[in-house]
Amino acid sequence: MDRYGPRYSGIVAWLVACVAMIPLPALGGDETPRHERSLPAQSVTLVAVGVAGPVAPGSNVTLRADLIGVSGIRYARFREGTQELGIDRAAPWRFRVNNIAAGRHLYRVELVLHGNRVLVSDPLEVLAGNVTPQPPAAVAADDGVRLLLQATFGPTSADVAHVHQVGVNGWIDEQLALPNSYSHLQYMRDVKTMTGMPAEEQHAYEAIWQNFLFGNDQLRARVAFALSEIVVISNIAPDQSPWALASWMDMLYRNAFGNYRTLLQEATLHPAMGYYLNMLGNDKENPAEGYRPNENYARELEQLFSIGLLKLNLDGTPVKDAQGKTIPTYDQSVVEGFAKVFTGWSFPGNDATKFDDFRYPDHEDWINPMVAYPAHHSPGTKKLLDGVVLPAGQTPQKDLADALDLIFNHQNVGPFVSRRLIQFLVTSNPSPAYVSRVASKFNNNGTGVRGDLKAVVRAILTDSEARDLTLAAKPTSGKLREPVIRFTHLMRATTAKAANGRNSVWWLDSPEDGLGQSPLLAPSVFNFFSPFFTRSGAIAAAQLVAPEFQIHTETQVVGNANFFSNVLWNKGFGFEDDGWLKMDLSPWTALAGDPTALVDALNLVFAANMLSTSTRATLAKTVGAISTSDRAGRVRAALTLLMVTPDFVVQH
Amino acid sequence: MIVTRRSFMKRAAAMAAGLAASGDVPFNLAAMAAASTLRASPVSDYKALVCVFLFGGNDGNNTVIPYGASDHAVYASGRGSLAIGRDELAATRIAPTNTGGREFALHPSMTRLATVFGNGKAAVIANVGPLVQPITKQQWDQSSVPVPPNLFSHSDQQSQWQIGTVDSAVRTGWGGRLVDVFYSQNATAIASCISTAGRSTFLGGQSATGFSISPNGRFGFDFYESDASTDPVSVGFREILTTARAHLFEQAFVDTLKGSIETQRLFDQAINDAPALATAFPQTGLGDQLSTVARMIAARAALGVKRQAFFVTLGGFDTHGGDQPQQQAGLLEEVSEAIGAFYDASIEMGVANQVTTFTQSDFCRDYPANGNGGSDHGWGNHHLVVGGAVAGKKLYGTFPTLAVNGPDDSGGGRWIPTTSVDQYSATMARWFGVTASDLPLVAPNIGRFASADLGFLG
Repeated sequence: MDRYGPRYSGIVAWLVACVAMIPLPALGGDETPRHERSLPAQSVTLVAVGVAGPVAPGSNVTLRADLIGVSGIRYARFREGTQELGIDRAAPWRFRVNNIAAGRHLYRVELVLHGNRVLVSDPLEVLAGNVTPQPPAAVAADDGVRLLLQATFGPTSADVAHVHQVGVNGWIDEQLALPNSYSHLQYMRDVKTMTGMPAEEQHAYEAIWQNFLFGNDQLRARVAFALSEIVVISNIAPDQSPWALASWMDMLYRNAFGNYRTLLQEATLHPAMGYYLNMLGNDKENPAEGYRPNENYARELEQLFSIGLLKLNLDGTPVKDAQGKTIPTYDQSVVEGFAKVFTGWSFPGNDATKFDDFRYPDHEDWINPMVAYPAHHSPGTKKLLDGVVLPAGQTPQKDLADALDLIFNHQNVGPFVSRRLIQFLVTSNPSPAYVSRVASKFNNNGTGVRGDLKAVVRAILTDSEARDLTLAAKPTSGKLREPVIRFTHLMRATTAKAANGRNSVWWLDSPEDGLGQSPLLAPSVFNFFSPFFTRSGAIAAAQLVAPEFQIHTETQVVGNANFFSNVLWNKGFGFEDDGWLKMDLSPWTALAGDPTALVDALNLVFAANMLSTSTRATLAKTVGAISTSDRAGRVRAALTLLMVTPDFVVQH
Repeated sequence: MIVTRRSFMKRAAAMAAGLAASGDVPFNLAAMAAASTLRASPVSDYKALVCVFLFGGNDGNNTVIPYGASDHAVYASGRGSLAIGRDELAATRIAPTNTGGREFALHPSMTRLATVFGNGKAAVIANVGPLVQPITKQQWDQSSVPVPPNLFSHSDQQSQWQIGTVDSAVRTGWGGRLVDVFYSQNATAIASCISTAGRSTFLGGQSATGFSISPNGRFGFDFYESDASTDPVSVGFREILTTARAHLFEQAFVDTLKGSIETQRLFDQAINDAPALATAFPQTGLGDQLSTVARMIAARAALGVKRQAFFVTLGGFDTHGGDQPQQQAGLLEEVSEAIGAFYDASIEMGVANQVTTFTQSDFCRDYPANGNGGSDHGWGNHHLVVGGAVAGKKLYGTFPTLAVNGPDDSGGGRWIPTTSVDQYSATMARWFGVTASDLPLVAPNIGRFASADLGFLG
């Protein structure tokens, strides 16, 4: 990857317009030249000599036609709009505008050649006086695209067209009905088939990015990604089996529109989690040796995956007692009780007669659920939540089922899960009423089922608080978009594809060189950022949370901006040649002749028409200041700035 | 680099209280000075500690090796296929002056540091590791005293080494706690703790937090040329930065961008004003990082810092497989050459006695070779300390008996440490200028151990 790519030369001096080959309707005058396409090597550029920015009204401005590869010129005709200003019959082809009027002027030059051919320049804008370019016309926010920002890894132009066609509810219905057909494990197996080499760690990440980038079931993928940030495993060490990672993601996909109770079960028994939080090979207590069961999974399951530290109301706010104090959901003794429940589970085929071989097994199966070893399961009573005590002597499976049922049925789970999913999809600061509405759906999907994630997701996205454009315009609305999603958006909207049909997006967790975020590479079980994080200053003063800001450090915003800038310079990204994602910028360069058109199109696809007027003006001005012969440069400039523009980075 | 549950919770709590305890949030000098409530021991000189963290668990058993003929024979028989031959060790022989004539050798790759050791400016600290309290083999076998949790887990052990003590109530890194004591004396507080390896637990204190800089020294945006540039993208970027936003999150994002530019401008200025270094650094990952650290130290006067901690890293030490010999040889060469160059740069800058570099790692590796010809996770490890102030050419601590089921073995050749990380860090803290009465701020559990100063720093 060429980090030190060529930079913009400090052009400055002249506003330029360029390129020929635009047929014109018949001109007036003493001849009616025929127009035909010139040879590609010829071009005419209209420049305003010595002009850098607005000129003083009343001053004189000399226009000049600069030529490349053109000969046989009879005369150069200078125009403003349709009005002819004057003709120059000899090189250098110039016209002086005397006493330029205040305002915005658009000039062109036409070169009339022998043989009745005409070369025309693109318009050259000259501003006289303190005239800023026309402010962009107001444009209404597009709720369909807003939905796509909330529910996909970034809309493509095709996605935009589709949501316009089927509407918000139609789109959601379609997505919720899509079968779960993507398999990360199959991707890993396919790597071996395609390359002849066994799959390695990076292929697990490729598998994840592959569906983020190219999958049709975008909403399921978004929810699975969100779940991976709630029920966290990480390979940051790195010490996970790549097959474990792939299998884990398959499990999340399987449950994204399923039931949270099933998710808890499958996550608890998945060997990736067993390894990450030490439930794998967790042995029953042995008082004689001073050994007690490992508490890691018990603690994080409660604190981070299901109920949290404080008792919650349906609306997600903490319950207060008569003295106005919050109420803890559990204490250390409860953790110890659950720790005992989570004993006696390991890979199939371990030697249960040997302590060491049970705890550090040779036989590994990273794909199938852990199985129970009754001899290693804590036999006594287990004190759990809210005074519930499991009787002694239950099987490991029964203890597990009882414990997970108890957690699942706790009043906290609905608001806990709902609030977090809302924060990942729609807004960092849902109103308590919004949380209530969604948590109610968690508690009862309408047909008596608790934990129905499909109903929860639908409730989140269709809620008035997600769809109301007045609310969206408020200064506290929405959220900082996750870096992973901003990256996929850029790649999707530029139809980036690799030669081998795969990708080579691997470790992007470095804040200096990457996104500061990468799937399954969180720094800890606490994910990349906390749902409670608030940024000191105005956000904290307003008592708001801003989770994603936790990773947007001074280092990360620079690193991230440079990362995107490099991706745009190289027109793609990848750690590996065959899997290098090459962008297709042609739909965007096609618009780049007209800065306003380009910016409008970017506004729709990247920001649901919610870029501010000033941002749109800045982008248009930036684009316009770059030569029209450099359309790729115009698009690159626009996208580079867009990636760091706050009204793109923040979704409303 | 690894944020544990504990350090994360600390930061989240501090955030809620309004303190900027997470790394790299835009800083305000006045607020930072006000936030430091720790007693500061006034200092007039400059000192820096540089932590070189070897991620994955460096096999200390092949880093510091007994060299005497019979000594080596015992080593060779116990290590099996991993043993390094005595003839290969001749060039890296080290003769500590305090081991009663017992000779050792560093890994054959470490010729440069062996020379520094011979010149008295490097020391070996033997069999050091996380401990809750001192523990004998008998106590270990009987499980009669508490031991650190999750002893052979990478993330837990990286965390325990960087936190510097085993205590669930302590969530800050010992480098950060160390700098906290002197924080208010650093004029540019944000330069107090610098990492070239991203976020680290080690540098996260209460006031002091790690600021990450790029090892290749790039401080700024690739596409933003300068405040004066008329390049369209730069102009556009400036407009974005200077346009006020009504939306709170948008404005906060802009503020972070602006803060970043300000900080970078600061560092750029300081580094450019500092004299360029003649010392050549190896062009390796670690070499680049230490070269950046050296440039930062060269800029200390411009930055007005008196006490700094740095964090640099090298990974790849988790050598379970049969390629351990080649892998470790390459890595230790990188370590030796880079630290050696850094030491030379400190001499060039005239701060050799004021900068101390030391290694840390997840754990040692177990002593006998495993079935694949590599080794698995161990515990007590041997580390190196390098610098002009080091009372060098010595081996501190107690070299373990290299015997499986021997008096130092917790099982499978994983040595029970005889020196704790607390003592390791406390020794460096005392040299750094922390008074005896302030020492518990840095090493809160030092009282559990016999000695608070191992003596390896003069």
